[in-house]
Amino acid sequence: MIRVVKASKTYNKGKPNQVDAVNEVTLHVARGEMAVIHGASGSGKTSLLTLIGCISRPTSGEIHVAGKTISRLPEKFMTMHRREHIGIIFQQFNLILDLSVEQNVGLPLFPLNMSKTLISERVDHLLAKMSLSKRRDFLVKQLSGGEQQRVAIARALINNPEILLADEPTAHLDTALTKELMETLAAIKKDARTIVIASHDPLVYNHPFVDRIFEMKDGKVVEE
Amino acid sequence: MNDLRRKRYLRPSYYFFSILVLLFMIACFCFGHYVYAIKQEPARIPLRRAAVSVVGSSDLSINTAARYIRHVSLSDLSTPFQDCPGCLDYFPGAFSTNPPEFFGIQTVFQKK
Amino acid sequence: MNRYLNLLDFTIHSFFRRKGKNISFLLLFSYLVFLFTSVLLLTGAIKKEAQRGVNALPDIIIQKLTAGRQVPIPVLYEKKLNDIFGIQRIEPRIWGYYFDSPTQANYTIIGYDSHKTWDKELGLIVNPGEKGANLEKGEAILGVGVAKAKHLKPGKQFGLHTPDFRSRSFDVVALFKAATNLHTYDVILLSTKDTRAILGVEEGFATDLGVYVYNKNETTTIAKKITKLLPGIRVVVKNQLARTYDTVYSWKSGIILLALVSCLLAFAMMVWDKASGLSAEEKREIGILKATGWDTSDILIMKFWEGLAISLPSFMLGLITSYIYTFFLGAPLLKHLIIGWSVLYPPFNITPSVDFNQLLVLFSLTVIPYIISTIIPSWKAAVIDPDTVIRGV
Repeated sequence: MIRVVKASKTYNKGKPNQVDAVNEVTLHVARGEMAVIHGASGSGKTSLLTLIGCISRPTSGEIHVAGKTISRLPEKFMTMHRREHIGIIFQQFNLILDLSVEQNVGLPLFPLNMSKTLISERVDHLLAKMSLSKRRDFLVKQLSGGEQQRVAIARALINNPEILLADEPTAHLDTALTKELMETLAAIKKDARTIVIASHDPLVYNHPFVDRIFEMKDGKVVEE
Repeated sequence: MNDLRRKRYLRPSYYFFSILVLLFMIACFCFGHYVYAIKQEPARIPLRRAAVSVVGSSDLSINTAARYIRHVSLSDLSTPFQDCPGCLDYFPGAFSTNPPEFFGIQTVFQKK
Repeated sequence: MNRYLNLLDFTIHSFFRRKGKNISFLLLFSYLVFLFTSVLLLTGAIKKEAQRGVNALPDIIIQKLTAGRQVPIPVLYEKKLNDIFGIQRIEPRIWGYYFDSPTQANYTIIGYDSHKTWDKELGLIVNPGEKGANLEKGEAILGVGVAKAKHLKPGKQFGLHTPDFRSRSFDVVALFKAATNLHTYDVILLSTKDTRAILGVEEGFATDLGVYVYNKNETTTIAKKITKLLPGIRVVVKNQLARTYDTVYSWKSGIILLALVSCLLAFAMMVWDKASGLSAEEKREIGILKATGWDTSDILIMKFWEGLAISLPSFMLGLITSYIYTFFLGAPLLKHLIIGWSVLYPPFNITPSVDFNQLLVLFSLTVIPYIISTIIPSWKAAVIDPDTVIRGV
């Protein structure tokens, strides 16, 4: 499902503040697996995730996601590919705080040629799944951290993606909420979705549902 | 429930477009008024023609600030009379307002 | 279609996130359009009103100047012009201003001969049933304004004095129709003989000469010939009058528009401020949108809607309110500024006149720059990787 071959990402190339965030990484995750990328902060987890998530483009190397070599796609097709196959949960949630829960969850669907009714139904369905139905018309900033997290997950799932990426999803959660989140992710995994989590939280990488763990250090995968 | 559903699926864009349509309709009404007024104009031409040819000037009698406006086209190159018929000359002239009362004018201005 | 509507929905939701700011901006925008449009509409209408009468005037008006001032012109000059080919007729006109100290107002006294071709026209503009088609010695026809100021009506008498302070009394035989107020409000029409006496214009002289020509295309040529033939005169061609009106009212509206330029500058500054950069929050938002699967084009469409949703209703609102204000309400306040004041001020309705080119220019000076200034900075933010946008906060 996900195949990364010798991918590198360099920021500020050729400048004195050059950073090799990802350095010739090669990894493979099969369909329906839950993989964790583990590493200290600054080890390149997030950069690797943005590469897989078609958000940024590798400086060199190849990335194959859901049957397409995305490292060579023009931007427009990269975006389209992301829309169809990938859902992303960000570390900072990246929600728009003064829009309603409904708006935030439906966000990825707006540019698609989809009727308001259809969008509303999908949002309703997901909110019910995340037990957020009562919060539907609340502004995101009125919600608790755990609820915001669930909104972010709902938004990541709205386009029914085959691949779900999560960047430090537990960074802002306490132990109880982390466990709850892992239960949710496990439930998502059961729908035959591939999940990749970047995290250095033991509660995450020690979870029984995790199939693979990649250890990252200084932009390289040092251990699988 | 039904009401709530309808409200939920009604796009805010539709409100936006209705406001635009409303504005457009008012604009059309104004345009209609304009066209109507223009159509009325020819009926007033004979009267206007007669008035201008009797009076001998097409200047409008809306300004007694005559140094500048009333009969400006036919008056002297210099001052025919002061800004306000009853007052001394003062600067910068009655460009837009009535002459001040402290000039000792007892003129009763007719309402604009 | 759904895509555009979805994006517009999102824009409207965003609009209400900063409700106060956006609505006050919308109102400010409309107010600016309103101010400019009102000045343009009112000036245009007044100019048009003045222009409309020009056709009925003599083609050429001849004045005599001495030391730069207008003095009575000898009627004999008429004879000197007889040789010029193309002149239909020449009319000596006697008219002038009369300062009436009791009412502190200037009246326009105009001499009128009942046996001239004017009779029919006079019958048209005085109220029927009144004795007005002829004007005998000692009789007067008054403009509504004069009648009001001196509390007169047909059948009553009033007095005027000659330059040597001899008093003369006149019978009011008729009033001009109120429909002609714009031209006759301050007019006292007397017989030519009486006019001479009151204004002190001696026999053999006139205030000016009105010249009518056969072929209107020849007017300028004939005017040139007249200038060569007569010493110390000023020749005014009808076109010049038309242009004078333009100048006079353009001058007034120009000064007002100049005062409004500061508003326009403030607006331009705001647009410039918008165009020159996005706030960190807006940048982050674009990053989020891109990260959740929005394309650059989606963001541009959304921003286009945003610009349009504010500027188009504002522009239309400004336009409509200014039309209603100018032509339905009669432009209170602004009328004072553009038209000015008058001792005898006729009540009148302004006939609407709209210059659609001007409105188009105003549109392209407000709505279009505004939309562009909304799109450009977002475009800059939208073409970079969302990754960089999010991290760059």
